[in-house]
Amino acid sequence: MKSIFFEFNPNRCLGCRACQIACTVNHDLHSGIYLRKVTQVQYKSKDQIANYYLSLSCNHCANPECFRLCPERAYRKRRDGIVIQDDKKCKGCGVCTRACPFEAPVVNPKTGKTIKCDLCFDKLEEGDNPFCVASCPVEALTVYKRTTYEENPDLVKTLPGFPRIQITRPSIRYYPVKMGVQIGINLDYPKEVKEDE
Amino acid sequence: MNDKDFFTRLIYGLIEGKDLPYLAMKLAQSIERPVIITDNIHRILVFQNPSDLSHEINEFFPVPYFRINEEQLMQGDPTVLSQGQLESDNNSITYSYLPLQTAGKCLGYCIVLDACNSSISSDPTPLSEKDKTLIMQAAIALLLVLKNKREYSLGQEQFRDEFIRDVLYNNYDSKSNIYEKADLWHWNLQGPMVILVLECKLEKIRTARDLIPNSFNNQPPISAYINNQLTIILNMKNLKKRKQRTALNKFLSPYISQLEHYETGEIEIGVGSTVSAVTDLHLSYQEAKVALELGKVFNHRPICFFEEMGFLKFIFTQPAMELQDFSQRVLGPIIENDLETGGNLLDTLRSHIECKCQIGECAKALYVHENTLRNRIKKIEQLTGFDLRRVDHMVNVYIALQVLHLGIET
Ligand code: SF4
Ligand code: SF4
Ligand code: SF4
Repeated sequence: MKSIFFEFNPNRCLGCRACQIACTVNHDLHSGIYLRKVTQVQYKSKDQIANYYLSLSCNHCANPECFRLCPERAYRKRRDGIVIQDDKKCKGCGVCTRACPFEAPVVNPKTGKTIKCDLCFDKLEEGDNPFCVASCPVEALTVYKRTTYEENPDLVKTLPGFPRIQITRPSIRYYPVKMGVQIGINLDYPKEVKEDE
Repeated sequence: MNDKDFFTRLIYGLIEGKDLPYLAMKLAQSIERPVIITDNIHRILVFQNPSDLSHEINEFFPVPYFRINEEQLMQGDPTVLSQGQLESDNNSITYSYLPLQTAGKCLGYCIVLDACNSSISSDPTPLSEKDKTLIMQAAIALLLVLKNKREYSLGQEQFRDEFIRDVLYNNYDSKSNIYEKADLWHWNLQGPMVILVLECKLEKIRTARDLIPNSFNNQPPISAYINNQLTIILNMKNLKKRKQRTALNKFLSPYISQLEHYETGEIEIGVGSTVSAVTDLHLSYQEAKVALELGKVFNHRPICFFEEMGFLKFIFTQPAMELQDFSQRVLGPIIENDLETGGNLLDTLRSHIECKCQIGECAKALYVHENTLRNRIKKIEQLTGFDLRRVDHMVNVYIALQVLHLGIET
């Protein structure tokens, strides 16, 4: 069975937040509650600075910490790799929101329970793209299927600005950041500064 | 009975539903010698007529590998039979054997022992031409059975792996549904269990799976291949907590030796904690995977127990920059001193901690006099400002050293 995962190209992303908004609107969430967030990262290496955007939601990790720590067994990982959370089981304790290094699960104030990206699996099952992917005007965010054996050698598992991945092993893959090719960078955007480690 | 009758009888046996033991028994009776059939990793599948053998044979019977000409095997050419000798403390057995090979893949070995008792073993009677012909006839039937078994078990394995994967990823809601399905394969998923996750060279993971010892705590281990890792479920029923670690080590150390023998590459094993019910197995599984990753980072190799990792896990999830700052603050003066003087205070500190702060033991490990070691420790204390006899000081030094292990993210 193939796994489904996100691919993200930081060299294309415009930072328009269409993905973030499409997700929020279609999930009927309060404003300020996001299952996907777009941030700007400033990456300083030895002699260069690159500004780029990251659009992040749940990464449907191979070793999901949310899943391990949820005391209600509300999480499960489907055969296609999608990590989903059952809100009937969720008691809103917030353990998973603290366990996830990517802050993917959030408490929905409307229900008092946690909610997170489910890769819009119902849309995928109907052959459609998730709301976020469909709304991206430049195809910076895409969804792919592959078996565990088929890694695309052109893609990388992490980018500067992304939390440590070694424990949870996120399934998302990135195009490597190319210095100086990012388009439409808005310098007023709130940014995280990452130094070359 | 002529040779053709022998072969026909074996094939009729197979049609009647007989299996490997029958084939091995017929061969052993016909040539009046003990016969062993092993799989491709030399694990004994059948041992016929071992009764009068003075030599002790355990789970494996390793023979030197050689590739045969399959054409010769199919034509029953007895020159493909090879000779070998198994040595033990006070005994040795000579044997004839041949790899059961098809399409370039060795599926097992047919081994005919020369020794029936110790008096004969000193001067074994060679196999007659007729014996050799019978062995070659049996080899074809054995190969047929091994091939069918292999194909069947690969097909079954896929179903089982999917089932285990679903259990471990919480895709079953009720215990009874799990038990019902597990019953199909006569698996006991009741009682306390623990999960081990193993990584090795990807192309050797099949071998690693085949090599899993047959039994742990009198139950067969259950294994699955998930996400390029080998997952092993062990039943801990009736094993008291304090005995569990010993039992696990006893199970793992011969297994690791076998893996090394088969050159499976660097082996990493993560062990989760023991859980009481099958519905909590996902916990042990996640812990085992986390332990495996932490073991790589903090160099707890080849086995890393999740329960032992404690605060190291929290350290690992802190931002890299802060950790590096901390480590630099604590160990920076030692590192600088080593660079300036060409000394090795950092290694001394590491060894001191590895030797549980025992001066005698550490001096021996470093091949230095105890007083030299004491002087070095004094120097470390002066440079860092920490008193290595105080637990609160030592904790900082220990954490800073662990942070140095934190490698580049992959
Ligand atoms: S990103 Fe966070 S919420 Fe999503 S699977 Fe990984 S640990 Fe869980
Ligand atoms: S896949 Fe669906 S739930 Fe996940 S971020 Fe995109 S729109 Fe939101
Ligand atoms: S919609 Fe596309 S371009 Fe816009 S922020 Fe999201 S990923 Fe970037």
